[in-house]
Amino acid sequence: MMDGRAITTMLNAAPAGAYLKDEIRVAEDGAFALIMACLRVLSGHFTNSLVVSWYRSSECADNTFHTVANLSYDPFFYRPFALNDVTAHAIQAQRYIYKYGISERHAAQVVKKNRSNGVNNVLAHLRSKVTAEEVLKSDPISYPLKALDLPPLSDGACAVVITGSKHATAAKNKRAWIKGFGWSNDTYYSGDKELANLESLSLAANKAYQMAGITDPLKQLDVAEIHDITSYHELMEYEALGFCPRGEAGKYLERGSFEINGELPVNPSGGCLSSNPYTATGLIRAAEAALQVMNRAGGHQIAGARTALAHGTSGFCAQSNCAFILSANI
Amino acid sequence: MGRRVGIVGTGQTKYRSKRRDCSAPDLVYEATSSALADADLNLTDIDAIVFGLAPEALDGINSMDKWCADAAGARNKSFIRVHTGGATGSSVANAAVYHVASGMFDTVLAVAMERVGETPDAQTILNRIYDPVVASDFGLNIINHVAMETSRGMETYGFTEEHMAMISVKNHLNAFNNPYAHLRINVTVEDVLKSPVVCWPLKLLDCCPRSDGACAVIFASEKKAKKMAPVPVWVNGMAALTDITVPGEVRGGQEQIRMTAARAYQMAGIDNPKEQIQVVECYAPFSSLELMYYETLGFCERKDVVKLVESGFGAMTGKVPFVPSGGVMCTNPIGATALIRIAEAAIQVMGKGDKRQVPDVTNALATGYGGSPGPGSASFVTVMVLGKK
Repeated sequence: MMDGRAITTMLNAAPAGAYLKDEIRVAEDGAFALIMACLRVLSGHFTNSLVVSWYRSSECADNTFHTVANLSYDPFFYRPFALNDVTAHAIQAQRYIYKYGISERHAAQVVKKNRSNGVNNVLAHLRSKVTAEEVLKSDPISYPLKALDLPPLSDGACAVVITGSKHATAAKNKRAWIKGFGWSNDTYYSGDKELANLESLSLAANKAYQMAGITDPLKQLDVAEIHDITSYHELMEYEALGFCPRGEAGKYLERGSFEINGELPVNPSGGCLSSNPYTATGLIRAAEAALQVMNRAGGHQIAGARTALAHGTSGFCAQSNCAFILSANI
Repeated sequence: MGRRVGIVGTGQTKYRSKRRDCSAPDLVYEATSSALADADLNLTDIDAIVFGLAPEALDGINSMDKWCADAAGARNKSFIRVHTGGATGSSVANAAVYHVASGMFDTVLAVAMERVGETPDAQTILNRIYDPVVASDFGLNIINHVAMETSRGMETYGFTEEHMAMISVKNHLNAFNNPYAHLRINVTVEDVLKSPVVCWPLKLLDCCPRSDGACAVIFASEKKAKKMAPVPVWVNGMAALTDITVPGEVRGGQEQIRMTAARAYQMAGIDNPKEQIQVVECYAPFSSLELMYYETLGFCERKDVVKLVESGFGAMTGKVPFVPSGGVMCTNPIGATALIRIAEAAIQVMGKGDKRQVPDVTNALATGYGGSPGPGSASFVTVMVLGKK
């Protein structure tokens, strides 16, 4: 609905190359389209599949994005409270602060990290460093979220090619093996779930870990690209993904665990806080994770990355989540 | 070709212009619980859910799948939404088949819903599927595009408004046998011809209604399906194809339907549809479109379409009944419509059709159609062959 078109694929099937092909559109974040493509290849119905995701935030004039976002809520209970992509996530962040004693400075540190990583990514939308002080002093939007805790709204697209062929001939630096993936959905009703725990992300990640044989993500993963819809969400995601125990994201962050030279660099590409073509953002995480294990990430390459995690989210308060484990080794 | 997949249960809501008695999640719940009851399963037996909803502007709620997820029983389960316009329902079914065939899940619920009654004017919204620069401004929408397709069909197939009216009469009569059908009205050829012209040659009674409703179908792996259902329905052939129309071009989707059907038939081992298929649930929201399916789905040559209509080939008493449910012409909750075709085809194979049951069905055909072969747009066609074996 955001782009003013009734069926978005109608205009974009042609440039995506769908002419006389079996095309299906997943109406979630682009990372879920990658899941559909994996299922289609695993089903034996298809060998090669192209996954494309795009978004034009600029189709929504300045403040209408949040107005349309408000329309994502049901008209009876939630919509009248003016909940939208910012206010709903602010409530979630407040809950997280209350439950685990995380500080606004921790969130600011996440912004600082991702924005300085983004400088090294030639495709990133925002390529300027910010300090934690600047984040803390940026305009308050909806407590505790300040302007710089939020991602920009970007135009952009991402495409990923997958194959199920046993004879994949791609050169070593042009392939990444999908070792595991999982996805799950939580209740829509914010009051019926623990907002700080991102339960559906834990379930999704555990499925992916199980498939890929990951038991200690912090040690076994070399890099992670996660869907940081706000700085606070990145912290919650560390915990839900099992990178650290519940409530300890701040402690690990202070230790520098997730910095570009840390134990497990998170979002070396700059993440969603640097580029946010909304529904394409999750698929970009998967593409970036693939580039890392292919050793083709350029200026933001993590040296020797062999195993990477990618995460995509869809719906407010991170209702639906999916996770992928990509590896340089089959 | 992956694992074999079967259908073990179906569920539908009552369809109305406006279901004032309930909300969108209520509709999803009604269809979901009815499918679970039909298959004699509990929610705990369902491993994953695929959800279908077409243009959300029709419902006035963005990404409404999120609100409906709980009603589909999707909490803490894998849940994904598919949207391919009018073909949404059949794309949902295809996606559910991939879920099971991939080996990742054993039992998957496909559920699709639409509340067209929420919008004052569906065609204004559907105008927004054409090219925004060169086509939308001309006021093109589904009805006037199909009208152009129809007048061209009258030229190439040689059918008349009377032949279209005969299809309409047949479908409205069939709807009386379907307890879920939205329109249950007595219609004569004369009524159709005298009904108000919507866009020539389409008259009001050649057109589908706008409906609220939902449909659910449960798919299972071969091993599970054999245990779960007395008569599991096997997905023996399926195909989907997208076609693209460049700005300035206006044409019909007939060639695309022919190509898609050929692929599904090849997979299912169908080489003579007229003899091998006993019932067809085709996606025809307008009477003229059903007529052309007789040829594009391989039941006759183009020149024989008129003869087939006149001889009552697609009537309940004919050789191959088309839409015993009354079809899209009598019920059209857009996002769910193509899944209803699959549910109705499965019901025929299971032998659960009651008054609308066609005798001795071993193979049934269901099709889906989304988008429009109009300027700067794309169209999706799906064909699924269901069988007893």
